[in-house]
Amino acid sequence: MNQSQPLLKTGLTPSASGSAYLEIKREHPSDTTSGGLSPRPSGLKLTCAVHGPRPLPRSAPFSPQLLLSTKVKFTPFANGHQRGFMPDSDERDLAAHLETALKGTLLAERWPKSGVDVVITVLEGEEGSPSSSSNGSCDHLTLLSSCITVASAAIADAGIDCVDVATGGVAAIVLGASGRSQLILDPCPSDHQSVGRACVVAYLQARDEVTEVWAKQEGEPPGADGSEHSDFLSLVDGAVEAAKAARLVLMDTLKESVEAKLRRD
Amino acid sequence: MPTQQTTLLSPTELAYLHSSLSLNPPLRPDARSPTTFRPLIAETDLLPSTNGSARVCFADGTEGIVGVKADIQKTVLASTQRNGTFKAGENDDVSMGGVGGPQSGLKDEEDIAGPHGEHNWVDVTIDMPGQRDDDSTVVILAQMIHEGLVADGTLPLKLYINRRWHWKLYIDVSDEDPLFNDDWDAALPLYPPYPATSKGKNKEAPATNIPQSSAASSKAPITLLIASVGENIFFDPSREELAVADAVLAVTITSTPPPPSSGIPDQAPTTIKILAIRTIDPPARLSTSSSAALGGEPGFGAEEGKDVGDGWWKPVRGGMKRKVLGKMLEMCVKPGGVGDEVLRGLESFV
Repeated sequence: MNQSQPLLKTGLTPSASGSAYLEIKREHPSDTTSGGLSPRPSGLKLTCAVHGPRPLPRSAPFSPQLLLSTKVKFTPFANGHQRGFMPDSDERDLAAHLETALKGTLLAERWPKSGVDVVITVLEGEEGSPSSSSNGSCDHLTLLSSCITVASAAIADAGIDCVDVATGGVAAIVLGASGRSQLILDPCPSDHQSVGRACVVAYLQARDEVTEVWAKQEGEPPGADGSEHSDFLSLVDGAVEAAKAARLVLMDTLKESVEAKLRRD
Repeated sequence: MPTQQTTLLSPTELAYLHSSLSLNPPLRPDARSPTTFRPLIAETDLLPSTNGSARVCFADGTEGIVGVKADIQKTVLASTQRNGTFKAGENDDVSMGGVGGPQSGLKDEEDIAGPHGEHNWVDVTIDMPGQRDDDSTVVILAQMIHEGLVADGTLPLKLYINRRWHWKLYIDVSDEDPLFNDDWDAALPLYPPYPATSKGKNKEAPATNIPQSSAASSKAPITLLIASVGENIFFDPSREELAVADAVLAVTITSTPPPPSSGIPDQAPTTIKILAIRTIDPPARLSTSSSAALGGEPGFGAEEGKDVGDGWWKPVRGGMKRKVLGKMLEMCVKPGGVGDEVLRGLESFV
């Protein structure tokens, strides 16, 4: 894999009750060809802040459980395409997916009449390869998987009870150099000219369950070897493997942050 | 704060529904089989000022009206976008619609040879009474329809006119009830039936300059809503069934034409392709009446997702098993399965 070890740290935002920061560096051997004044982003940088659990506003109706609200925001300089202040449909769609992924993990009935806000800021986003005509569905899938992992770290840092930590993983079927389609884990959007099909999952390893599946297809379906649903299932299985790898990083980080907290006390 | 979904069912009703749906074979409240769809009324071509329109009506009052309009629009060249001279007045729809937005590349205009298409040429708007337009349900629905339409890459291709102009397709869905509305009517006029004769009602002018090969490539996408309760899988769940579902999945499928070698086209089996999958947040997690009344320490009560006796039921936590997911997909795509049946049913409609 071309991916170096992601950097994940918790507790970097002091004002939030829990926070995490994720950075994935990508190597671009062919970066010199792109030229232009603005170099392409070198990877992915995300920060996540968790506010809460805190009481719901007085105007809100009674809720017997914790209400989760998620927000994903790109900074204006996150990638080549500048976004406005109001969240656009991509950002809201990512937030909705993130909410689905996280809601299944929370033990929400332990906090009646309260809410928790998960806010993710994309400091630097990845873009698909500039020569592909598609509008980068794969970017959003890889971004969502990182969002899920970083949000789980922040929720754990905030001390909110969960059944398990969810981690995100992506698998994609790309057209290889030899013209054959192949399954790869954790694809890097800028490396592949054409991503046929991609899938992201939020995986709970302790329960062997997925809380979120989002699969997309781009262009003509790649030549299928087996039946359609078994192709998709192998894609899901690949994404689950990627999520298991992300879990190792997440667990290390959480262990570190607990040790740091114990030392401080 | 997210809006709270209130189910108007009592805890006992929820428990009853859940236990009857987990039986083997399951018993649905309206006595359908797991793969039967609700009867619906559908009509097309009812809005005079649109290029194509449709209306779908269910017996429980769910109703959706779709209008499709095509408009000629100047193509913003990829090179001007990259250089930052993007003028909002020239093409102000780009920033509003579509997945991804304009970011497609460094190519000079000479390099774009022949027809191409961009995702933001298709614009899907959904309007639901009583819901804000940034509500997550509305966003998910709009993106899901858009995703299915652009997934096989042929629809944006059909909107290409020439190097400087393209058709912009506006799809406006008006939902009378925040439940599911399949998007098939919206897409049909642009998709001729695949023995590619002039029989197809090509209401859209762009259909005339499509190369024949791409026009016949696939049928309009359909989104199927599938729910699971335990090991049981239900297609087209009603609102009551959704209230107790463990997992909900929306699968967008299409069918590709049979290979020409396989004889008579009507008899040959079509292949069902999955275009997109997304999980939908099951409403059961937010139902107010399900979890609160359990005695003892919250969270350590009964095993979740099970009926705990005394008429209480606790919504499932965590996600869905991969086995269930596989079973759902198999039921959609297998020959003679649900996807096949629905697409064949639609053929008689056009």
